[in-house]
Amino acid sequence: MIRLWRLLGYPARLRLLLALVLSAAAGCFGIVLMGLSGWFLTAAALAGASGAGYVFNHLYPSAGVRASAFGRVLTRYGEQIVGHDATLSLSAELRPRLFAASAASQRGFAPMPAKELSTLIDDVDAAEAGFLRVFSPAAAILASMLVALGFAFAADAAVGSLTLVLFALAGFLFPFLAVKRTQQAASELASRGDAVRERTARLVENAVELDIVGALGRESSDVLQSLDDWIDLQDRIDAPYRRLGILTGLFGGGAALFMLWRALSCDVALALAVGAALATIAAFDATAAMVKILEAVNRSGLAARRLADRIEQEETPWNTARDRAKSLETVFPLKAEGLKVRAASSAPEIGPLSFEIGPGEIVQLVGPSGCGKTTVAESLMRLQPLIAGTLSYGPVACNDVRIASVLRRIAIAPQLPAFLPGTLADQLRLANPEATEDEMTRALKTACALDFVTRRGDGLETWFSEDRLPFSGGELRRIGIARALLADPDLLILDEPLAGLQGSLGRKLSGHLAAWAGQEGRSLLVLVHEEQDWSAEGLHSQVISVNQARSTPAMA
Amino acid sequence: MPDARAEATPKPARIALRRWGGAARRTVNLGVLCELLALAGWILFAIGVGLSVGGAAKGEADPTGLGLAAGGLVMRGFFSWVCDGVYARAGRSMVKAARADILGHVADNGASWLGGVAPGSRVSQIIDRTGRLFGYAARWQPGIRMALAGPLIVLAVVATQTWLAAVLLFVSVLVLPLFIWVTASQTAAQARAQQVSLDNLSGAFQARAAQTGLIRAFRAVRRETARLALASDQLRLRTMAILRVAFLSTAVLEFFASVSIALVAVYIGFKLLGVFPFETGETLTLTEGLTALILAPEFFAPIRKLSSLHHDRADANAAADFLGPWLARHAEQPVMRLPAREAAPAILFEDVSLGWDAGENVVEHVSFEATPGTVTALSGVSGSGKSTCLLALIGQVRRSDGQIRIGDRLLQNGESLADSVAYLGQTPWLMEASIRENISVARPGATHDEVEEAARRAGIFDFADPSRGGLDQALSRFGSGLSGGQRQRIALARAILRDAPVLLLDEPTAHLDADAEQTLIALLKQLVPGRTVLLASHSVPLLEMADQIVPIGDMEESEEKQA
Repeated sequence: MIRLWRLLGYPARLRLLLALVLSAAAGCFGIVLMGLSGWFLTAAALAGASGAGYVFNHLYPSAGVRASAFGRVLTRYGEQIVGHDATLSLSAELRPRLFAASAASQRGFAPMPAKELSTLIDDVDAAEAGFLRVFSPAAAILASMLVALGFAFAADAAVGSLTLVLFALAGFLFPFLAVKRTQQAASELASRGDAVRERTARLVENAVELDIVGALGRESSDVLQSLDDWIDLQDRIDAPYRRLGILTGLFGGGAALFMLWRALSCDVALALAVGAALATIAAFDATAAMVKILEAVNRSGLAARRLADRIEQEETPWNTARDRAKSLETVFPLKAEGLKVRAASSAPEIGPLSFEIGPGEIVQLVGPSGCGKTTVAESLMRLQPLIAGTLSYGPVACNDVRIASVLRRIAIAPQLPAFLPGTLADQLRLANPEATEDEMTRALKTACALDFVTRRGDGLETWFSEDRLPFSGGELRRIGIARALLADPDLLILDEPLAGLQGSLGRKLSGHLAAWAGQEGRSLLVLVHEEQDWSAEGLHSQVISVNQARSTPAMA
Repeated sequence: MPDARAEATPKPARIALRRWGGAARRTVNLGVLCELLALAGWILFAIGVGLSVGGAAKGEADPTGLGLAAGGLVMRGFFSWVCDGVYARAGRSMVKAARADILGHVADNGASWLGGVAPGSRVSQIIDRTGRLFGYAARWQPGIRMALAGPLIVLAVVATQTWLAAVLLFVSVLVLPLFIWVTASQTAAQARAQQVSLDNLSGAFQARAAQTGLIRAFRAVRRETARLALASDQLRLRTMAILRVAFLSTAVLEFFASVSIALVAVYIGFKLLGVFPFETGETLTLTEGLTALILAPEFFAPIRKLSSLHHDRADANAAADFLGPWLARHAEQPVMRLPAREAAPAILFEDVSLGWDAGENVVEHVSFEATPGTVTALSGVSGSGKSTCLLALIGQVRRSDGQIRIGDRLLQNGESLADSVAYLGQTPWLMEASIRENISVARPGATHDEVEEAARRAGIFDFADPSRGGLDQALSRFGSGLSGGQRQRIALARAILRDAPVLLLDEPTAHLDADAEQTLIALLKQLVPGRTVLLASHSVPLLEMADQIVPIGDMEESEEKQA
């Protein structure tokens, strides 16, 4: 966790420190309240019995009791406020950094797989909660222990030593062992859990088949039995862990009784012994939380390590260093020679492909779905490394330019475009933050999207939420095209732009796009599963077949 | 927030919660009894300590007090230990009751009862939602009982020692709800707003983290990073404004817990010194005072604990909200299995519309006639309702319009052809048993030879090597280790063994590669003569074996919806 904090540049340093101090103070006050009360009561009784009631200075102790009561409330409140504030600052530092780091090292533009994303989100939550779950309560417990030990040693050295040993056992050794044991059992529990979950999933998925052969009732009761066994196992693993708190309480009570016994049998001051006894009971009560802290240490620590790795990840390794990058005036002629790529380090190779794209062209990249058209497109945008061959933009080899300067000139409209939460205008401004309303409307019109956007949506203010997109898949694809148009690229890559469009609408869209490509210095690269009629006047047509891996002139 | 949720809980949810809670009620009460005994142990401890210290102060070293305290301590430890186990059992009973309830409904009402929601959600309802009920019986219900009983008992005991201290405690606890109410009503609305903005931020982060590729492709990384930082900072400011108030309610609780202890301590101390300025009508001894002081924190402990348990109740209510209405909808349409048919019937759909429960229709106005010995394919993109049409034949779906005719008989809502049907889905259900047992599931009475014959026709001997036990070779869990094609051949053998006149195929090649698909199609073709075959698929090679293709849903429209 410290490493992650260092990577972020030690944010919220003072507030974290203050929160720790306040937390420790809150712990102290709680123990002092009980200890001082016990001492005061006994001392007062002794004084009262010996008739020295009015001689005994009762003002300081009673003020101390009240002060620690108020102090505990105030420090606790302060600790919560400062601690949460510091945590939120930490998160305000962590999340953007994490995002920027993973964006810089990302390969291709496919969304992050759901499982990886949910791990990431869990990690962020766990790491952010680390301070409030680990450091802050640990400070309070340590402070409580110290105060209680102070009382105990003040009463009697033997009592103090015993308390110290008990604290070491109940506060550190036992929780440590319990957490370790639970973790070992956790993997068994998790694999049992996965099996039960899978079995339940099979029951649900195959319910119709089971119903038809009349086995549904039997299988349901078997699944129930395995669910019951699983939860029982869970309890067997959890029980000792939960019960540690009871043991800690017994230790506290035992230590307290030992102190009183010493006071009765030896010449230990009675009032101090009573104070120490009450302080010890309270401190052991607080110590019971230690097992939760150690558990959080593991969880948050692991999460923080993974996040730190993510942040320390290097920038895409195939990017060109800033100091030796050349500027890029145009991507044309875009020339690939024996180009070979793969979607991931373990994926099959695609290619070799050789082709040349000049301005004023409509190029079709043809191949069945899954053959790697998208990966080829990504590699043209430098979002994928080459494994063989060369790629050049005009006179400049692809190894001599920054990825960002290529991305300024090549834009893509994917088949299933993704959107961030926000308005339609926000979606479009992703490609060009300075786009005016006019420009956006024009782009939507070119992409044949203006009509349904104004008819069924709230125009540019149509809201895209995380879980509900306002339009159908085909419509969203056209909005994706409008977005790519707004980036004003030299080369526009379109993934299956006409899929699912009725004849006339498809012709209208392809006409608009051809007209766009007809303007000075622009070309269109279309990814399709089978060759389509994209011929347009004044534009040169070309078909690149991905499975045959060679370039042929178009039929038209 | 949990209060609003509880009021809004619809009736089926409350009934379900009560039913499951009933399974745990006795255990909960037993646990509460143990916890009360543990509290009694602590009271003995307090009295014992009071006695011994009080005695020592008078110069009598009397060990009985310490003995009593030690006994009390052991008693508290023992009953806390037992109580912990009992509460956990109560929690488990409640979870088990809910799961038994759901799976019992599955067994009673058939597969249809699981329909209408994606399988993944159903699984999480069965496992995760019910799992959330644990805290309700294990923590919340005991917590609320203890929050009433615990303080009362402590108060009564303290009152026997010093009535004024008891009054001090009582007054502070009376003021407490007022303060909590004042702060809680303020914070509830703000907390909701806070949750919304928190969700927005984590949503914003999640959406951006998921789409780093897209954002980078448009060179918007720096812009979006800045936006994220801004959103985080705004969230911090907004959250802190709310937390400052929200933590007040915890602080108030702490305040009364601490201050009332301090008041009790100071009062007793002054009284013992003899400097307390007012006449209280009681003479206090150290024994009484110390006992009262040790018990004072115990007075607030159950209340403080309860205040941290609200989420257990909220979780359980949410679970009941989800599961209650689902459980309540049984028996609306009991499934009636029609007797098995000997000969293959013609199946006629006339302008049929189908839906799940009271929801919207999934399929509208479907008409076709499937004749014996032919393959009728229902085609459309996934989600268009092809499978729903098949399920209508086995009583799984509500027919809202049109009629279905089987031979010369009208199929009523809820009537099922299941006993005349063999079925092949995307992946078959496989159990941890031999291949032979897995096949004979389809017809438990089948002879050894019949099973062998079915396996041979399905081509199972291609992979069930006699050297490894042939059909007696055991499958590992869920048939892992078998390829998709091999699994489907086991399913095929089942269909052959079942020898039913109607064969329903629901995307049987969805998980197969091209080669395995061709092999399966060849094997399926031999089953067509003498059977009425309905096939739901959008696989082109599979559709080629069909004698007629019925489009389901408007193809153009449905693709748009689907994509």
